[in-house]
Amino acid sequence: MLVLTRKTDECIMIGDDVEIMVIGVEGDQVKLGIDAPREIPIHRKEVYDEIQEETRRAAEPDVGDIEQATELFTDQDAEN
Amino acid sequence: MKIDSKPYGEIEVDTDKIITFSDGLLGFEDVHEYVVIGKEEERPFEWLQAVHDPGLAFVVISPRVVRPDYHLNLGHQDAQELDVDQAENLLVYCLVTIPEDNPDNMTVNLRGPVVINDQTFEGKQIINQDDRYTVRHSLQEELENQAEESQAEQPAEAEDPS
Repeated sequence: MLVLTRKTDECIMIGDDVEIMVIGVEGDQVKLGIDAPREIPIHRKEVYDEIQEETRRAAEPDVGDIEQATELFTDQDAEN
Repeated sequence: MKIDSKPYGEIEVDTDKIITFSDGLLGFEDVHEYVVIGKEEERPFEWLQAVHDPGLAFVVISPRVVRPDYHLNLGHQDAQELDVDQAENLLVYCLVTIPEDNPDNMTVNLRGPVVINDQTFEGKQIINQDDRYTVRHSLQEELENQAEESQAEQPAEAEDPS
């Protein structure tokens, strides 16, 4: 990982098309401005990691559990 | 063609229905071919089954069952990769996690849905830009909320004047 130190208003270029600017720093929060072509998706990493982890969890269950899951819907129908 | 499936053992699938995920799924980037299978008695749940990996299958559900007003916010690149213009419909499935120790706490991932172009059968797991949604919505709670909301919408009984 490349580590750079920047001050407010200073920028980083990634390739020719992506520019990141430090907009401001408040306490332990850094506000970043990102200028990139719209084709390049930009996400907070935690969201990406969360989805990856949750997808792995979803691959685990036993086959038997789906019967319990469908009961949720048959109960709903019964109440209506 | 015959494939071996996690929920049903050996089954016959229509090769036209095989979905290609060029990027795989998050956490399973090397698995590219899946098919959606299901049984009537398991509705609204279905399975997203890996074609070449019998042990890899996900319980899935349409997000509108969980949230009737579910909004898919596709990023520009996702829309391009999925060839949205060429799609009649985008099929959207959300992965359901059923904790082994506590199945009643099953959750659905509304933030990272699987989106499939129903003409090209190309699929992609995307990050829904709409941050109202999380990776773990309790299915039980969502259904309870829906029931409450539909009760609230019932017109109030007219008071009997006599």
